[in-house]
Amino acid sequence: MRSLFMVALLLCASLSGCLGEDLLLAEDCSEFEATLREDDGVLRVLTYDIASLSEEFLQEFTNETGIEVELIRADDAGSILEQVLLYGGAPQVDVALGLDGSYLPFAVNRCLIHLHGVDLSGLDAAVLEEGASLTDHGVPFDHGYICLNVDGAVVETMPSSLWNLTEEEWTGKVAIPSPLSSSPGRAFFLATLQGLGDDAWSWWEAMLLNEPIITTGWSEAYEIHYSGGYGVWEEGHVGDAAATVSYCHSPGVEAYYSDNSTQSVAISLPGAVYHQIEYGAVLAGAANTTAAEAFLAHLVSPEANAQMPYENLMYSVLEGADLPETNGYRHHSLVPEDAAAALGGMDVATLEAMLATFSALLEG
Amino acid sequence: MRPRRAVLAESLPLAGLALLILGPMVVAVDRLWAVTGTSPITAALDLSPTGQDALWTATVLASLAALGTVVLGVPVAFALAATPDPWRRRFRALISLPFVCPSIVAAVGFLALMDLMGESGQRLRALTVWPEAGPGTVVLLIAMIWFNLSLAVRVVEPSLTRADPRYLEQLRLLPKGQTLAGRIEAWWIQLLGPGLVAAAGLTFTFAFTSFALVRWLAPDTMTLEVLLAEQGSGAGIPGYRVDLSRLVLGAAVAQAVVLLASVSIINAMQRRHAFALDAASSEAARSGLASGLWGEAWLRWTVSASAAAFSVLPLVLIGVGSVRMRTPEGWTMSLEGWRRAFAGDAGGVTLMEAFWSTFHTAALTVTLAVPAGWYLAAQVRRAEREGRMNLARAIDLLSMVPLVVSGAMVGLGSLLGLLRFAPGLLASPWLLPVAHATLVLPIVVRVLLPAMRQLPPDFEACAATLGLGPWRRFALVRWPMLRPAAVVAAGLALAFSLGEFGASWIVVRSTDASTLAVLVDTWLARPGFDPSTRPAAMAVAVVLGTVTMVLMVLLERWREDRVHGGL
Repeated sequence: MRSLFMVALLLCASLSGCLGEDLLLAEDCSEFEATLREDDGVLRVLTYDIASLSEEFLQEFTNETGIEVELIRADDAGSILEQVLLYGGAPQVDVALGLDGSYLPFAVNRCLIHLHGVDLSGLDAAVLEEGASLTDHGVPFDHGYICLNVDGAVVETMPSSLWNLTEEEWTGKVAIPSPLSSSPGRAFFLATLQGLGDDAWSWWEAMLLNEPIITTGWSEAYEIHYSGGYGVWEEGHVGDAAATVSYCHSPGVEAYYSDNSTQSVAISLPGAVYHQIEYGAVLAGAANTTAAEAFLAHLVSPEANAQMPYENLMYSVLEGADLPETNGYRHHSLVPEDAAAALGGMDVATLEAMLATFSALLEG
Repeated sequence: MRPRRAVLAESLPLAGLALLILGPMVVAVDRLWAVTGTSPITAALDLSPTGQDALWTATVLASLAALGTVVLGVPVAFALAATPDPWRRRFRALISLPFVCPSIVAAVGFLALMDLMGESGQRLRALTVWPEAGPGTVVLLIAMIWFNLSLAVRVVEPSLTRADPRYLEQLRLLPKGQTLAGRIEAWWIQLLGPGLVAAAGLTFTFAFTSFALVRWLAPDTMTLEVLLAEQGSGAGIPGYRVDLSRLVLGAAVAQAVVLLASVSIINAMQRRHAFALDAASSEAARSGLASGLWGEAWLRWTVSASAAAFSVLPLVLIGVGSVRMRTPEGWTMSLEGWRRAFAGDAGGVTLMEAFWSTFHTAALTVTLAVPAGWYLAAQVRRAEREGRMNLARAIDLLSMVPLVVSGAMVGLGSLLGLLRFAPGLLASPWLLPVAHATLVLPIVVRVLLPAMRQLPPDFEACAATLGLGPWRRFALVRWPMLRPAAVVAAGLALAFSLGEFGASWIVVRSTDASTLAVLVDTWLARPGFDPSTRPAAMAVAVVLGTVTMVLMVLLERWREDRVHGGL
């Protein structure tokens, strides 16, 4: 066994780097030329488990356009980005669906996204304004706000500042999805960087000393640790966190499925709110850009997009759209007035450096 | 001396298999090395604190699971061996069920168990083996022991039923056999020791590489396998999170080293166990040592029945969980979870789509794995017969490589390799079966090789003397004698593929395929605001668990007294 292992390693040593393609990154997109994916008559869409892409939706699109759609399901937004980056300039899919404003810039920065020609005129003006730096590359198809959710049945005095969470009263009682592996976690991280400015790192240092529950994903934080959500009904619920990072409309969704009843409350604290906009993007090198754009146009059509609050539990991007009033969905949801968005003027290299700093801070 | 063409014809498939097994690993290491500028050994030695924690956590949990499996498995095996047929066979079949149960179904089973335990289940879930291990690790440990209990039972129980009690009686007459300590040293350790170490080694290996159980029972806990599976997709990208690529490279090497040591011990101990079993067994012994053990009937019945009940309980509860749904007023019984699973609504794959896709994948896996495993085992046996022991060992070790390589590395390497050399194959329906076949190859070889070793060479020599050609010799001599082992190998490959989760979870992310195991995970991973999502996951798990376990119960009838395979 040892000899075999050594042979494998020696083989690697002799080949190191020569198996891989050119690892240099494109610096100017005008000089970058992606390899076209061979057109096999099927539109391949890389997405996570987006609930709104139902069989009916896809069938309707195929009936209208004659274009067959194949869904490739990644785990989450981070996995979509990583697969797009791994493909580099030789994509194996045509559309990446589900990258938000904190992930899409990484693909744009590497010239991996095709400038689309989808008509965005019927979409919400605020969404288009906040996503202005990305709407040439991505078609916004849903959105929502990230903020802290607090268990109203347990917490007597709601925090009025993020700094309250660094106090003894909150020791070990805040669940935060890691910005390294979770998209809501990254959104919250960006909210603190943009909202707290120079104090952001002091806050994170103080917060990490207060024993927060850092989880790999949103589900672990909300379902397992948060005491105010539906997790209390789920198997193996721990319920040791009285506050967590989730969506500002999560209490509304709780109420919608529980006959207008919830103990969860969304709060808007300075430096803790982020406007998350999710995009669909045509990849550079897509086999059929016209079909890809038609798919994205169909996704933001009034008939399909109006279903977002029910099927994808997110806001529709249509102008004037709101959450439904049914069962207290809208009533229990919070629409914050001030929210961070996209990368807030930061470039992707800076964000990567920030995430590396966070990782180092986490490892102590 | 064989003709050169014959040698070439034999070697080419071997080279192809070597490329299939080692290729992805080499491609992945090469890319990570190029991206990070760090050699694999440096990356492993310079593992970040996150990687070190994951290595420590995985090692301690797997060691505790191995210890617990042996400690609990031995008394159960003693009780089982002393239980009369047909109950012995029935109990043993039930105790064996967890081992063949798909890991994602096991995870769902324990979730259902904790759910039905109410507040005590919640308290149990919050328990942690040590403070930094994270909540859920006590449940995880119990699940790991539950999963592997049959390994220890399978080792000890046949030894007790087959071993000739007269040897022990003779030992009592000797000075060494006068004391219990002497008999333990001279008899029991010799008879059971190697097998128990091998069973502990296998438990360690399975627990160390466990993904679905950790992901769902202790989601805050980071082991090496979880780290590689969940973070591996971000590795190998030039200029993007280079620290992550370095972590993945170092973690993969560290994992390979630990598993290499574990597999080496298992190999050595399995040989010693087989030798001890052969030496101590007797055709004349009908009831073996068991007849003199566990004289108290109530005790052996209690232990055997409790172990069987413990083995089955989480699986039964999945069925309950699939029809139990929360409402604003409390719990109610409903088939809504089943309806949603069959409808596949909210954008998902339907249960039947995943069912057929799973069977399709499993059938292709068997088609690939059994001939490949047969070929490798035959090459090992041929080299052994010709006295080329180094070559035999090398081929044997080649077949074991998939056991020590992380699924994440294989997934990453396959993706990079295909992107580079054959991008069109990324959407191929063969991608997942090839991955499954590669992973199940060590098991197929381990089942076929001992059977081939027991094949008397005289039969084939006689057939050749009678003028039968190679194909007729195969059809009339080798195949009938090896058929039971081949059926068991095919069954195990089929069951493995049906329930495989780790590699499927990685590979299906680049294709439009799905499997039942991945579908369970997909339903579990959905936000549970809608109360029918969890019952839907349980419904899919019921189907997957039932199909796999019916298959394995049927297979158990073949295994008994037909195959002298591995564990």
